[in-house]
Amino acid sequence: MIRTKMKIRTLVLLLLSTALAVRADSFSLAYDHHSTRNLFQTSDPVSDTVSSFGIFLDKDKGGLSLLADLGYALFHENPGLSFGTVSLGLDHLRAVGTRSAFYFAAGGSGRFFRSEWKALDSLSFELAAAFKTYLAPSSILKVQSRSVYASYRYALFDDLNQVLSLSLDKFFPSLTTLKTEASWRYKHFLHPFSGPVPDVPGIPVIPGGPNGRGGHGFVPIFDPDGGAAGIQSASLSALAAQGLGSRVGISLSGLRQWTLSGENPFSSITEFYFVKNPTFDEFSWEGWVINSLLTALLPYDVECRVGYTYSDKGFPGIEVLTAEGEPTGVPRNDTRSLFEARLDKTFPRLTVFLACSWTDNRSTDPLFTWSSPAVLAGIEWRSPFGRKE
Amino acid sequence: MNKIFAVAIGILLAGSAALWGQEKAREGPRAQVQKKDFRFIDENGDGIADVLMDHDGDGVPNKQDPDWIKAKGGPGLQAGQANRASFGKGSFRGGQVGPPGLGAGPGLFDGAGPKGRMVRRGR
Repeated sequence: MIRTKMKIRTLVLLLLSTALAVRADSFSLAYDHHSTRNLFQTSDPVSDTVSSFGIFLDKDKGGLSLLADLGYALFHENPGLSFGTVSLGLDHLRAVGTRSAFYFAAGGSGRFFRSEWKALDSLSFELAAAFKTYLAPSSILKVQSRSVYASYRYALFDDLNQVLSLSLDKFFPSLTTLKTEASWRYKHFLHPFSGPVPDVPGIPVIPGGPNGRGGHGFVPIFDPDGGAAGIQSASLSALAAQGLGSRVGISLSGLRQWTLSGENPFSSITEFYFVKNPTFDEFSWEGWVINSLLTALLPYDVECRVGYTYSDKGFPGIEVLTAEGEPTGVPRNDTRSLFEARLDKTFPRLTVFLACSWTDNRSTDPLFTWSSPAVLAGIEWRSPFGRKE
Repeated sequence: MNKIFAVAIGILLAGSAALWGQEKAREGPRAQVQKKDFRFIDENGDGIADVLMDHDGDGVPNKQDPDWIKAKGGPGLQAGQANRASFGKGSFRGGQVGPPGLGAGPGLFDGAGPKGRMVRRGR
């Protein structure tokens, strides 16, 4: 019965969106199918396949664009993790002369889990602004700002975060690209980490953790002195890319991130395949990442990309835990090798793609030492409705 | 779920068929854009000129761009506006959210659908 209702709801949404698309400047539908052997990314792998559906709308009016995005991810082996998303946003671009422009965006989004992880249901609101200018015909300076307020059903995750970045790009006739970027970010947890641990039903845990450790994933550390917790970091990154002819390119990039103040206010953090986790994000780590990428535009509009990423990340405030979940005093540090490959084939209104990856994660915490392949295939159809002239 | 998928495919096919004629009628002028002086710009840092992937220079890659209809004879450099300063909204949308740094994030395998396709629509 529940499945039937879900199907009906999905169908209604699909038809409604199609009707709305007649009025949209662009409209697309996407279906992706994922397969992973390690959904929770621990040493105790749990396989799953995920089907995700997405509907996307874009409507321009008077220089203002309305963006809408509806999605649903269905976990076949762990259906309780299935979730839906909805996003709505506006953005506006204002040129200043012929070489500069301001960009402003505002939006909101929601993420709603089907059952097991209801504690991670969230609403977020975002403001973004950017300024981009051509210092020279082949040099671009960009300043960006993003502010996000996120509210979760489990209020301990509520936060306000801010990211500022400054980037400079330089392009050379030799088909060489140099890019540098400096970023500053701050995440402020709104909940005062004081008082007793609230008894909130539905707090998500890592199922199947070995030796009974599976339940520690989201238990927060409380500061007996009270007050909110925040974590501040900065990063520098650089990229060099070279075109080898007009249809092949290689790039190498590196990033170093430092935690300037604060630490993660949780006893343990983890990331999951395909599921956004408020404890494991761009604010939670310090360390470095290097990435190499080969891109080739093949005949018949096929784009091929092959990449390798190596990272070494520490997580301030996070310690290796014993099998019983007790802290050992040893900081958690992860090193990761990630191989990826992706093929995209583009038709006039359709894109199909196939991607695969292999991840080898080594951690000072044995629970997070794992390796796993993953495969992703998808199709996206773009409607010809309302094409702009 | 299979029924839903079948209905979705049906809608897609019907929509495509109904509007195929309109699309063909619009192709003419766009296919006549002139080849201009080539200036190398590579905002996504992959080593390949953006003009090859974003022919109309609006910052949205061709394959995601509702404005773009592939010109007959292959991609080439028939980009009408690609050599002027690129201020398409797509060139901003792609940079607002995501992993820190330049190309140091998950990149190729960042999934699709509910994880945030909207922010990936541009470069």
